[in-house]
Amino acid sequence: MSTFRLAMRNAQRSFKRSLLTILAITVAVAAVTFFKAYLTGVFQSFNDTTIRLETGDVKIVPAKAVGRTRAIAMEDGIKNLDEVVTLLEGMEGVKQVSPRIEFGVLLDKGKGAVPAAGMAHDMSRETHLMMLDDAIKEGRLPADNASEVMIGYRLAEDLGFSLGDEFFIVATTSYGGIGPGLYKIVGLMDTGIPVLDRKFFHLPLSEGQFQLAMDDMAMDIAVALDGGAEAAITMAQKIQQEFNAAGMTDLVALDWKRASLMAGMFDPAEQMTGVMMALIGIVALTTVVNTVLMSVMERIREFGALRALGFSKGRITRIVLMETLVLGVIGTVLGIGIGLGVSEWLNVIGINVTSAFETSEMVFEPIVRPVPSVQVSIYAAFFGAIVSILSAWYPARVAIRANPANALRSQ
Amino acid sequence: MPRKHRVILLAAGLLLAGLQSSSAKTAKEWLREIDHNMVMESAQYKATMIVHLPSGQERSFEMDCKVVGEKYAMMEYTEPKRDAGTRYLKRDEELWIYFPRVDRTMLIQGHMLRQGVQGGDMSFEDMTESKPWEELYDAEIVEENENSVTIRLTAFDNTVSYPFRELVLDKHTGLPMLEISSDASGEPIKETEILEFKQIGDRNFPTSVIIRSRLTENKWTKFIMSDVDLDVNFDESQFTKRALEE
Repeated sequence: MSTFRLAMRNAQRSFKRSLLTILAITVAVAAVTFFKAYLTGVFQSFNDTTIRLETGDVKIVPAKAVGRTRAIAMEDGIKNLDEVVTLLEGMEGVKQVSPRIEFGVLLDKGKGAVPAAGMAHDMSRETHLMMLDDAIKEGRLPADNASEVMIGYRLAEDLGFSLGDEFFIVATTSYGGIGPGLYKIVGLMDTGIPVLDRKFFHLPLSEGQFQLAMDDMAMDIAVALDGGAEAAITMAQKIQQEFNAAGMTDLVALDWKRASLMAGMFDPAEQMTGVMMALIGIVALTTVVNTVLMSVMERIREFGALRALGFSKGRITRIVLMETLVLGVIGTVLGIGIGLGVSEWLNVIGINVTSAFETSEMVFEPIVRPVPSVQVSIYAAFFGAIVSILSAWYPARVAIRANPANALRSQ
Repeated sequence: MPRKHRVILLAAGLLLAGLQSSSAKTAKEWLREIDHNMVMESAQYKATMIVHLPSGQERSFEMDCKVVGEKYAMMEYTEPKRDAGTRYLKRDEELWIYFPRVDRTMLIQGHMLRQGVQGGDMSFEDMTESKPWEELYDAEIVEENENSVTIRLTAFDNTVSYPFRELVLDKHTGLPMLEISSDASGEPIKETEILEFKQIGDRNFPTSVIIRSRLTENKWTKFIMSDVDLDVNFDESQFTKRALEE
């Protein structure tokens, strides 16, 4: 009888034990499948949000800002802005260029000042970047060069503002003075991201430049590329070469990942997922080792008889391994099916984690959608195979140590 | 030596000793002299403030100022055009700012009085403070020579901007030609040097000072006063919110 047929026969002999083995592998593989799909969704969401709202595909910053975790002084921002923008817009592969100034303000509500954050940039230059027209809850986007703002709807609620109201802000200028601004609220935004809706308002670049005494300046420039994020590294290098050739050596072009502080922090998180998968694997392993071992111990005399009949240690090992693999394949297939099914379902309805980011300062999309994919399935299948093979190792060693003499004596 | 000569010598010696002891001032007396010169009941003046930043950039501002002791102060920018018409009103411990461009007034919290004006090293409080140092500091002489005396000041409490100051006082003018101001830990924050002074009545009043930051390299602020009138009789109504917004 072939090794495979022996293994199949043995696998069917104790239904309950085989079922338990299959269940353990199914649960582990389903967990890994879903977890991998979930994390892929989290990282993808984070990356998309970072590119859309913070960095663009490439971010241009002053050289002084590189490597710093705190913001640089406004007077150290990007100068001769028009010249820089013209150069960027003339480059092949560049889709859109948006200079931005982010600044802290004191927002006056008549009874004392409240801190908030302003973003000065032109909405006409954000159609492929921030795309805030999707976030309008009420009203419209501020027009370029107009004394208008769009504010987060929660900021408006907290301060008692509504559409059409005027509001007065005071900011520190680039030289440390006090710069006032009076604007009309033309839009309320609901981005779904708590910190943006709670704290931010948007105004045209020219208004921000005037209020902050930053004529022809910006703090950074977000660049959208024709090739998207995949082209970021190559294009960042090309842009840097253009800057150097034009004598703009105080500017640095960074691909979105290098430009984002948070993206760097997610790399260790991604590496940690391997550790978590290993832990899930160990838990599954202990269960499967247990069930397979029980099965081997029940048939220890049988293995001894096989040894007496001339079965080599290698063949006995293959029998045990084959048994476990058969159960493992069934469990893996079921696990991948369940994991992908749950991921697909949650991808459609989304996992709302808003409450976790309610008071957070992180710019993070609060609806997470797991991403089931072929890649995830392959990863899970590999995981299932590893668990099955490793689970068979110790029971196989026990089986090959079965004493033929004991088996013959009991006959 | 004849007896008559000994008496004359003794008398001369006693006279010299008496003169010396009467000219050796205590730290408190020097402080009183500084206060006599620099503390104003009220004053009106024009000022030019030049702020030099570490990057090499320089910004210049001109303003009209009125001060009544430590109670009231009104300052209005006249240059540059961007800031012209902006007015600051200090009334007790509150600071109000009026912005003509947007016709709005804002109340700034008291601690802002100690922030550098226009990014410079001179705070609004520095520009308008006029409380006698004798009331705020304990003084001790650290070093003394024929022309100058170095005095160390220690604040009686922590309500003052600079709990420690070290002054190099010119004995002839009664002015602290150099002053090093330190924080509560004794860390020097800035250094103030009097560049020019003017005699107004019986006082020597500083009309040009330079303040160098001890925390940031290559950063300084020059404050130049002109058309100085001291002890002006102001009406309190000139220091109201209404006057601020007119």
